[in-house]
Amino acid sequence: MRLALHVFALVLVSLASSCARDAGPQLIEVLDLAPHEVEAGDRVEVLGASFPQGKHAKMTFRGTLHRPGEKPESAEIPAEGDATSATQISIDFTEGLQQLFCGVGEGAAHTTFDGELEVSFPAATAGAPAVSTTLHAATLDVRPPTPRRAVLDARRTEGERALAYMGIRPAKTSPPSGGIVVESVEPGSRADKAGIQANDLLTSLDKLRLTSLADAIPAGAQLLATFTLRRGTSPAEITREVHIESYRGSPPADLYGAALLIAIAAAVIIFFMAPTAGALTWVERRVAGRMRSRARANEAGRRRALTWRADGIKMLLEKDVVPSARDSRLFRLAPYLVFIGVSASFVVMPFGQYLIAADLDVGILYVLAVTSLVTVGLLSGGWAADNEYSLTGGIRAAGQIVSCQVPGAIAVACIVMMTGSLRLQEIIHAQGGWPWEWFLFKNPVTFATFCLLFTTALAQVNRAPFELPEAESEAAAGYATGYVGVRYLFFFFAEWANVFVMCGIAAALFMGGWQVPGLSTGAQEAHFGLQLVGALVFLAKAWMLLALVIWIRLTWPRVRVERMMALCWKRFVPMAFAAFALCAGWVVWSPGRTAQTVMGVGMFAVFCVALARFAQRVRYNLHAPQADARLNPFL
Amino acid sequence: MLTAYATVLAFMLVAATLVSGSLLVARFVRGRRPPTAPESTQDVSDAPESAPHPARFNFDPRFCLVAFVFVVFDVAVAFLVPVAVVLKRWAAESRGTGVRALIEVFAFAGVLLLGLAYARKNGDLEVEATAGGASPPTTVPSDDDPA
Amino acid sequence: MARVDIAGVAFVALALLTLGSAAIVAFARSVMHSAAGLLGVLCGVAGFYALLSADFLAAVQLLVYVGGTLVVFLFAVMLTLTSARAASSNEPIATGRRAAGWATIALAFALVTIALDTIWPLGEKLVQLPTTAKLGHALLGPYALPFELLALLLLATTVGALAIARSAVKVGAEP
Repeated sequence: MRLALHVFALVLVSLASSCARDAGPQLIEVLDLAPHEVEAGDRVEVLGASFPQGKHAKMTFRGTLHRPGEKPESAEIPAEGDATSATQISIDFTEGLQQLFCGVGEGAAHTTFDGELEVSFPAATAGAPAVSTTLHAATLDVRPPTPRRAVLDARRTEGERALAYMGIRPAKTSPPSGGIVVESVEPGSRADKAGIQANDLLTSLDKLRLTSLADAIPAGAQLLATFTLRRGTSPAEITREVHIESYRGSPPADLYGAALLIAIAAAVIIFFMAPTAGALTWVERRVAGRMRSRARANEAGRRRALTWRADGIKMLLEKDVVPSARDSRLFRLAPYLVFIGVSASFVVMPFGQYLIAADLDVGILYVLAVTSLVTVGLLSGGWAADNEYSLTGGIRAAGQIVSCQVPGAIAVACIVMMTGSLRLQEIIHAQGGWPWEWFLFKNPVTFATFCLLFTTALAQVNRAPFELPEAESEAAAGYATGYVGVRYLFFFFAEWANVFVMCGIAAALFMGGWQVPGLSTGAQEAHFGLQLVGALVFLAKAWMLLALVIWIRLTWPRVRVERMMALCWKRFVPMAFAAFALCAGWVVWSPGRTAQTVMGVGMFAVFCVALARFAQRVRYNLHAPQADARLNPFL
Repeated sequence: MLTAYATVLAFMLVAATLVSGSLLVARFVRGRRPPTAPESTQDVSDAPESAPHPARFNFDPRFCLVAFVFVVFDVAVAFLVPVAVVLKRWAAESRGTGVRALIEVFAFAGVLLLGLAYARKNGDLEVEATAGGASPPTTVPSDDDPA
Repeated sequence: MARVDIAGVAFVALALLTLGSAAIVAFARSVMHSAAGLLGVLCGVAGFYALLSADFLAAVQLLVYVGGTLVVFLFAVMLTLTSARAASSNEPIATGRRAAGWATIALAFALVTIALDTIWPLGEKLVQLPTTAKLGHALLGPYALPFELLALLLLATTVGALAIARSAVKVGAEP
């Protein structure tokens, strides 16, 4: 019996030892990953020892992913590869793998992975456990596919901003091996306090390898940014920590930013819009008095300049009547709509090269969109006052606005076509300072487009000769008939401001905006004083157009709303489309620079000559007692 | 870009605050006085014959047709705008792409103008001052005081 | 200094505006109040588009919906209603209120359960970028055929609307 047991044990041991001998590789070792920077389509080699050649390996990357501007994220990413030799496993770095590291779509960013890499092979004999080992200090730097230009630019700007916040000025060129060279460090800045010096090579930020400025974006919600850098010729990496407690990402993530925006808005509305509207009423009265050769009424203040303020105060003091009939809620709402609609268009008013509240990407389209609020406000106001006159006025005003909006929008689209952008600043940049560089004189089609836009815009703001909806001799005060006091004030305040918006936008679109003749935009950019000069030039151009608006009002008889609407649909819309087609042709078959300048100068010359003749004729009409007023002023 | 739209919001809020603030200020400045005049907007001195009637607008229903056509053309303009934005880039790329873009735009505009021609031919855009009434003279001289 | 997520606050505010206005549209007694509520809804949606970086769409929403559709609606209402009738033009239906109430509660319960229990996949991180040029390229390039078909669709809309409305105008020519 004991002998049988011994023999049995011997057989078992020999079997076990023979099994162990045939169990395949005893120990595999993983030493490193190469290369350390990969993109989709690259091949990553895992270097090590004792790999079973030809076998398929399953690997897992376990660790943290560092991306610019984001908090480090822990991840577990599986990968597969084949052992091409006893010392190498080859991983095909597919797009799928890249997406797992970098993220998908437009948010994909340059990612640095650090953590451990577990490699496991299936056992040689079926049923035995897999053989695996872990490489503990694995780092991998993954580059995403190149994102869109706009994304890249946005990230680069953010990176520059972050570095500037820390007081680091990066060099323009980066070495081929990656990293950011510090050109200079602002004395006393955070980077200086942290011990970063000029000519340092920043190699990583918070464990993210820096390859370009777009990577230098800290996550934002941390106190310290840890840079590793190389100084001089020594390859050793030094670590420096920069304090960034109050670093913020771009949107106003705190109340200070929001308060700043509100302050800007208040400044523009209260200190620019209100006085302009008031001054406009005063200017018009003065000009009207002179043009109509009548004595000016008893008005307050020296040069009667206080009249409009007195008017405003009077409106404040008037009894606030809310009519009992119809709709008191809408009655209260309408002035808000109208005023908000007009104020919102001041957001994109390009006062100067950098003096614009917000250069929206949909700039001019936004202005068109926001005037829809005004339309609805007028309609509601007209309805709410339970008055035949106001309803008539409201519907007619809305009908007129609506009919004239289409040709106006197409005229704007012509200019947009010639610029290639909706942004107001870009439209201004596409023009120049001199009159022949304006879109107004670029070619006869754009001149016609300007006339179209001007006319339809006049109709849209209900200004003479299209002001029947609210003319005093017609239907009381049109849609504003039911309103008294402050509410009435706001309707007309909004109207005057709207006129300014119209002239300002026309000046920006057609007359070069804040561009000063003879001054290049580069020079303007350099000096803030010159930017103010540009702002004054813009205001001068806008006021020139305003003077034209007032002049037209005081000269021409009114046009009935229905006739205006028919005119818009039957004549203006086809004209606008024709202009659009011609402008499109101009854009596609654009003549050379010299031809354009010649045409611009030629148009301007023709305009000047026509203006001179017109002035001559007007003078003649003024002085000659028997001058027939209906004579053609151009002959 | 969010900052830009935050600016828009800021402007709208300030405008709304200004209106409501002015109304509040006006109320305080005025002081409390009991209303003595009737609250109706109809003229008090109206003779009894022309007693206030519920306001009806005797106007041409064609205003609605104009509004329909406007919506259609507004949508068309909304589509023409992005095309206008990129036309320059297409033209710069090569003559071929520029001409192709041009043809697409012309086709779009042409089809729309057919619709406009239809509306015009059928007299849908002739809005009349009063329903079924003869049109008064086209223009009215304006010689009143600018308010 | 509070770290306030302005985008989050804006989202909540816009949601309140939109839903509140939608409630006004549904519950207001007067059609004109419903129209004002509709204005609020459309503006709220435009705000959402802006938050989601669809800036072109936000502007077009205001331009076409508020400036066009709402104006058509207002014209239609003003043309057909007197003030007396307008004030109570949107009276809620008297019958079936209780059933409607129970159905609403059941539906709300179901929706809230779904909302809370579903594991919503998180979208990719939003990058705020302008969209107009992208749309333009798409309309002239891959989507050129839909662009032209759209023109035909608009033509059909114009002709159809005018044909229908014209007969209505002739029939109801008396105010």
